[in-house]
Amino acid sequence: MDALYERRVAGISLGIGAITIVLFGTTIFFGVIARMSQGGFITLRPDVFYEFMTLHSVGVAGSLMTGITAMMWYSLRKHINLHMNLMQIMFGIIGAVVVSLLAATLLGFYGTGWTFLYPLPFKSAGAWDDWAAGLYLLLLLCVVAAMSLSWGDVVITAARKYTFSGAVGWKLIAGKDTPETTPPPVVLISVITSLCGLFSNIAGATVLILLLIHWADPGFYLDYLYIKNLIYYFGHILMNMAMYMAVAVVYELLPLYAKRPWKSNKIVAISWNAAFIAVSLAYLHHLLQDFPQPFAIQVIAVFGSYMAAFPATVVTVIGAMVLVYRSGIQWTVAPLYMFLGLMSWAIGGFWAVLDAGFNNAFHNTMFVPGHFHLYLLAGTSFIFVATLYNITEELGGCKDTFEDRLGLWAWFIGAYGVALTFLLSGVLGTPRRYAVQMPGKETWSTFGALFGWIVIFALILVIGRYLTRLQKVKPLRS
Amino acid sequence: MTQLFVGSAAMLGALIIMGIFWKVGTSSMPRDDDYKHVAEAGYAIRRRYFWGLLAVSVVLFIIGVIAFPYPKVMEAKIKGEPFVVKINSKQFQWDLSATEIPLGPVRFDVTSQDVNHGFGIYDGQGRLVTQSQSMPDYVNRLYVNFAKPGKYKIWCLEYCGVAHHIMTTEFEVK
Repeated sequence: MDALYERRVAGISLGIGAITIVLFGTTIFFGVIARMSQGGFITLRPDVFYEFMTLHSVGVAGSLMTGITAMMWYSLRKHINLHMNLMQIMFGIIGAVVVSLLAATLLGFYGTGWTFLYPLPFKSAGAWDDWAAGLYLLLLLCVVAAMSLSWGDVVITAARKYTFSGAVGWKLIAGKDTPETTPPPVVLISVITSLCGLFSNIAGATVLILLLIHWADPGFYLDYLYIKNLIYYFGHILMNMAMYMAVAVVYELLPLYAKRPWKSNKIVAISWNAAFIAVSLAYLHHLLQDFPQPFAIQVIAVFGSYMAAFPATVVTVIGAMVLVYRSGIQWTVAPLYMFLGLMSWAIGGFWAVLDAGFNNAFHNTMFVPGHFHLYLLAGTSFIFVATLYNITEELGGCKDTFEDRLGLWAWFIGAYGVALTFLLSGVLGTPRRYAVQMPGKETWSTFGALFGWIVIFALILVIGRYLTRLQKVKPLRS
Repeated sequence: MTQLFVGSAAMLGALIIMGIFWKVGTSSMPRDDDYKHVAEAGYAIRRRYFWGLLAVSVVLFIIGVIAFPYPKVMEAKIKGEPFVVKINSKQFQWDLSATEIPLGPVRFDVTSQDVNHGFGIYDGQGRLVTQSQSMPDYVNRLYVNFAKPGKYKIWCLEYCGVAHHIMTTEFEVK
């Protein structure tokens, strides 16, 4: 790849990184305010609480997804030449969507949570305007289209270079690989993850178009269970993809710090193909309390959830450990974020498997936000920040400071506190998504809000340090 | 009981994972340039871990399936004819065909008139006993074998709108 292309990619990634980390922090702020209300520090009106909850969940997921897509794109720059115009269009669309989303929630009072379970968007009991529901669905459809552009580009460009069966690792598995058709792990994982995303987007686009038709014509009948399946297939895969894209980045960057190679081989290819199947089946655990689902499907849901643990831990987590053990790695902030990010993924994933395996006891309790807050707030986002640190090290020669380390450990403590207070509250049966907690179950929310403020403190430090480090990056010259 | 067991497993598992990461992370020095040797040792551990994970997963999977709350499983467990309660949910209230329920097997036929709700039964100490979804056009048949008399509460366990958190009612088991 030519140096100018690489430099441009890095420049755009740094810019997207700056925008998305600020957006990420802002939408976390809404989450902390909502948690303060649950903990009794302040009193939000219920409609405002649910607005904030929606803004927080969609905002955090959207900003993290966009940010980590940019970081994946950055990590691919040495291997495949992606279309910069497409990427800029994608980020432009998502930027416009964010502004409109603010309008839908803050002006239109929209508040279904990210799940937009049919028919809730159209039956708000007077809480939000009809136009806000339509706008929200339309905006999500725009995000689906924008993300598809980017992921389609990854798949097509990689297939042109390595052939499709080479890019997804099938040649490695069949033993028919050649150096020309064997992609590095970052490409292999990015292609498989992008394929997951494209499948999920087909489901997402289908359900969003159906709901928009229903919005325009309320007489248009939709089957509730079918729509629920589509929504969770779409949402579950999308959130898992964010982590998988982050893991692709780790495969590329951690070896640079460990000064050891992490290459594609048959085991890595099998594991990521298995991950594709597992994540496609595991979404079904969201419907384990829907008894009309066929019994065999419910068994597959639990099977898929356990299966997801194998490729993640057997290959990636142990592979990372082998990479760093006796490697002489210097634990600067960037690799430390990555290593801790993998740890949070492993713990959060373990909790997710327990949730699926014993779902009747935990479904829609605080146990659920407990597990996903850990692997989003201390997993995916840690690897996102690690990449920002890596780019500024590489292009600006930046060195870590006390504030960098303070930011990392404050974030770590805050994120684990936030996740644990959710989780333990869920063990006691506390329902999630309550503007006011059940009597006697407020205590964990109080502690959760305090840990949330530690995360905010850490984010202010990290964003401040990132913007300072950015100034050291030399301007792009053609 | 399930919550306590799984919650303890969640904490124990988290501590073990953290311990392993701590051990590996603090064993990065000194550098061993014979990476092939390190990798072979790591992969030997990986093989053992794989079989261990498989064994634990199979056991947990079987326990999970046996504990499924679905009619297919529960009808085999429940002895005698269950007392049937029809549950109709709508924003933001529960309609029950009976609020006094006899001890022993009970079948709740749960459905909704508007949006998705979650039918969560809590005991007098605020512990979640069991749950199912409550969806329009579909009926969830939830079996419960009540062994203890007393007042039980129903709370909504699927976000259903602006008064979701106050969608509650109670019944008594005698």
